Amino acid sequence: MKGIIFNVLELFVEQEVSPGAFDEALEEVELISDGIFVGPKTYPDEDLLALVGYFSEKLSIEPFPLVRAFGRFALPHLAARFPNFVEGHTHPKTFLLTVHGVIHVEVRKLMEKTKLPDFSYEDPAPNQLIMYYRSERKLCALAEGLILGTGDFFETPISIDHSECMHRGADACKLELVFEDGGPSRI
Amino acid sequence: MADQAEFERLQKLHRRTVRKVEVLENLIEEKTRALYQANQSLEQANDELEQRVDERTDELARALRVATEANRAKAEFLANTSHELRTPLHGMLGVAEYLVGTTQDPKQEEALDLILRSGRQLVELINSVLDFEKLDAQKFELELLPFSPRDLVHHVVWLFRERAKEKGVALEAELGLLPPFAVGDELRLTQVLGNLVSNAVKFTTEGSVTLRAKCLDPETQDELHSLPSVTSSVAILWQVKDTGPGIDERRRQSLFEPFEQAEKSTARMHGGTGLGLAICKGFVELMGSQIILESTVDEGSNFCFTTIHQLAPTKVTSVVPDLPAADGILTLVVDDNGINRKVAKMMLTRLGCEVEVATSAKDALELAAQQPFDLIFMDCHMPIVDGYRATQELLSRLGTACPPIIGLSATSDRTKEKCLQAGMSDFIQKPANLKALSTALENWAGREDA
Ligand code: HEM
Repeated sequence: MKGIIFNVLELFVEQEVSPGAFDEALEEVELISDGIFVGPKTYPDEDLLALVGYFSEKLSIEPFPLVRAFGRFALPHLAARFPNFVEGHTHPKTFLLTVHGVIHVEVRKLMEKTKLPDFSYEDPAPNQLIMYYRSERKLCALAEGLILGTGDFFETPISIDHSECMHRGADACKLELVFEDGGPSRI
Repeated sequence: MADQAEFERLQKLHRRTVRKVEVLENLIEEKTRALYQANQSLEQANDELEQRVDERTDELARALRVATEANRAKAEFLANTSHELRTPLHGMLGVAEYLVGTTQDPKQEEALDLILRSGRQLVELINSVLDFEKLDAQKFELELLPFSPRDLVHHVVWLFRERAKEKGVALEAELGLLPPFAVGDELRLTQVLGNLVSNAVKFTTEGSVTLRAKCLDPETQDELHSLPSVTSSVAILWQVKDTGPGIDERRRQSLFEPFEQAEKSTARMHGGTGLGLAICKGFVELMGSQIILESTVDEGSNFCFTTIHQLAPTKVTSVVPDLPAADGILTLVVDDNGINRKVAKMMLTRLGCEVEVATSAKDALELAAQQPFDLIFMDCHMPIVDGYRATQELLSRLGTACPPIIGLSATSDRTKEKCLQAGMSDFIQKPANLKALSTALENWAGREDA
């Protein structure tokens, strides 16, 4: 996983748990890397999972809602780091539709050794969007969080029905989104 | 206590941040080095590429020079050889023409006829190779002189009427309004129309071949019904239409390419170099026009083109006295080539002339000073002093007493113009045949004696 994700995690922990909590975690948790995460470098996925496990236990929050909360927190920060990707969008739906074909494609060009998930889309109605998520990492909680964060960013509430999940043996996670504002305006 | 904890927290954060900076510094250094190296190898690759491009450009330029040179040498060789071939051929043809009518033996007649026909075919072939080379090298210049379009059409029809008759094909001229004289290259027009008519007759097995000519308004392309004033110009539409087999779309495309013939089997069946139409195309383009071909398979073909001509008041060389024979006319033949001299002498003798010969300009000047010749036939291309300079010399020495001088040359383009400029009265293209000589005698000698 890229260092940038660890950096956003650090921000999340410092703000949402307590200042100094990240350094404490680094002391407590046994990591494969040395814990000095910088954005452009790549670190073992296990380190991220170990940190998540540590906070889950410490805060008595299940890993899934924790990762989702992290995703929700992360999106505005990712958007701030890469303003080009949100420019021109006024609605979360049009933005989400570019995640697979544009954003992650560009991310792959900008950074070495990325492992990005696979998304496919269905667009059944203006106020709906179905996203199919596939990844070895099975980080659908992160996807959910990032989607909710997208809603926050564009100030449009989004409800998610995670009707099929890789963790329950599905081939892909089916995320059925409903945009509470009725979808992007057609002007 | 709280302060102590806060201090430790900040200290840890600081330590970690310092290490992060170190990692980032190393990362930056690493990336910079990688970038530098990438840049270096790019530059090197670029240099190498530039060098290779330079080398290749040089190579190509050299190859092009060699090829151009080779092509020029080839063309020159071809032109020279063809020229060399023409001289002995003229000799042969002259002798054969002289012999026609001198024998009663039909076998000999037939043999003579064969020699003449093959020889003329060969001359035609050599001429077309030369024309083509010259067109190809863009060295061709048109010879613009007044001519009669009407006479031209009749002449072309006359040339092929025998062949058409043999095949049972009607060959007709259809003339619209035409000016009595227009300025243009009569010889080239004759060659183009002759070629088109010859092809049409060759491929048509029944029906007709029609050669049409009429005046158009050069601006509107409308047919003219009255001629404009002499100072202006007209367009003449030339058209050769046949009821032959037609030429299909695919073959129409390549028909005007050199060495192309509508049927590959044509060469075997009908002969020809495959240069005819390419040469026609070249000439017509030189005249600022284009040959247009319309053709329907099984119905026939229609070749046409339009040429623009200045109108001419009269033909410059149209003093045509009507004296047929040449008995007792005293002529001088000036030619450095022995065979040519002999041939000319034989033919002129046969036409009834007295003939003296000179082998050089110097000889000619001496002889002309001693005897009052009626007509001088002057080879244009002689070593030391050529025919043009010899003519000027004769004119300046003899003044009005100088007889008309007729130029003789194997090369044809612009030669007539040069001859007239030098002060000659007319020009005959070699090989001179009896008819051409007789016409020259008719036109230029004998009226005082009459
Ligand atoms: C500005 C917008 C975004 C940027 C710059 C961005 C960038 C990234 C980066 C750098 C990674 C880490 C890849 C690696 O370390 O191999 C990542 C992973 C991921 N992204 Fe995005 N992303 C953006 C938006 C989104 C959105 C809106 C979604 C939600 C649908 C999303 C879903 C994910 C998921 C689920 C992963 C985890 C990898 C996995 O599941 O295999 N991303 N993204």
